[in-house]
Amino acid sequence: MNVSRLILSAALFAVSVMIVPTTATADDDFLDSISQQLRFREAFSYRNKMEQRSVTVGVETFGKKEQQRVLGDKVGDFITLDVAVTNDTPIRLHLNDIYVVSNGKIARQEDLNFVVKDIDPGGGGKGNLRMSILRKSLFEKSLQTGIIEPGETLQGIVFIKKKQLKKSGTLHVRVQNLRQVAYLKYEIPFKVK
Amino acid sequence: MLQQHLSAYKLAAILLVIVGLLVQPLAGSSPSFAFDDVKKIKIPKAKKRPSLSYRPQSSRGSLKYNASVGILTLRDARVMKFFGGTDEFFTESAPQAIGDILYFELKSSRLFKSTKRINFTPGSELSKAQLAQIAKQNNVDLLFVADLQAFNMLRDKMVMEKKGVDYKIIVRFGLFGQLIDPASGKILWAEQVSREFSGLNSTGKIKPFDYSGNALQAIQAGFDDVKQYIRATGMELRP
Repeated sequence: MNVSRLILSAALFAVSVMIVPTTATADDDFLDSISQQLRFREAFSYRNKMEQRSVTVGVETFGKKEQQRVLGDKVGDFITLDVAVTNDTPIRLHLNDIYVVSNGKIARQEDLNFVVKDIDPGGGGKGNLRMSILRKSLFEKSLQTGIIEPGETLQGIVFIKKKQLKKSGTLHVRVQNLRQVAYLKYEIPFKVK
Repeated sequence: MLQQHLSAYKLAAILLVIVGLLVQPLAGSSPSFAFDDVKKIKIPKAKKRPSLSYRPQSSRGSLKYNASVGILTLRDARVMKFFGGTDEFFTESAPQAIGDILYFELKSSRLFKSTKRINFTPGSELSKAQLAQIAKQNNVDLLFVADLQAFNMLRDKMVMEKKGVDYKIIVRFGLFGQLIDPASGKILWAEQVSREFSGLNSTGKIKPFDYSGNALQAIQAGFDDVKQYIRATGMELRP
């Protein structure tokens, strides 16, 4: 009687061990973040924006809840800016430069590896899986320089170190005309949440 | 007594079958290497680092521009270095090596009458007067300005489970280039190219051969695109 109970328990244990790996990963925030993006908007719908010659730049900061949704975890040492550039001209443009000025000092986005280190998804098999997702996520969701086609909006996250950005700052953006050498400069003040 | 022994043997046999079931691959969800670990990705020792240098294929096509071009130093506009915050996975510094390749590729493309390297890293804003001065000083008709947008190694887990070492190793290359006529300030060609090549790694370690071949293929394919796009879509110069 005892032996059959023991066998039954062992069998149940084995079945539970077989099921656990698939369900454990299904609830992971990093895995969920693969299918999460910044809510797509055109720059004129941002709280802080500036328009010049039909090109609009918008900026807003976002908090821990949104960081967790988009990246899988909170970012401790960085302020996250959601920046969009909308090109409503018939000309191709190039986003040339982005930086923030706070307390008279220039703060640029650092290598995103610092953000990876800050989030620190851990080691082992689980940590490695999360790390690979996070790196790809940061690469694809961060704002990078590039061409903005007519009618297109370029949108992405800009990471600025908390100690370089106090309660408020000014986002500086430089956009180049790709028909001839000419630039548009934007300075948009914003407050940190 | 004998009955007790038999029960013990029975129990041991059943447990053995259960352990066997756990270890063998199950319905495809757990790979056979499910209990292996991914090792920390280390920078290879200096003498084992691969090189990014290669000989570009020369073109037999006709001249696109009957003009000389000056290639300015490649700007590094990446958001991340190659991997783990460093470019030390190769013998050379990546922006330097890709800058060299840019020169060799454009030189062998026969798109221009002659090609010259100009040791000047442009800032994020170049005035027409500044461009005209650079062209005059270096005795060239056109200027080529390029940004390295991506040269990164990324990993993609093939089976989205925390166990297993089944990773796709991806090398992504991206470049933005523009060909400028400094006399008029007009941009004759501007485009960005992006290429990625990958390979499956299931050893749990990353060796130089896991990324070097893909890196070179991505760069080569990216520059092939640049040359083809200039030939196809570059604006003509009026005499």
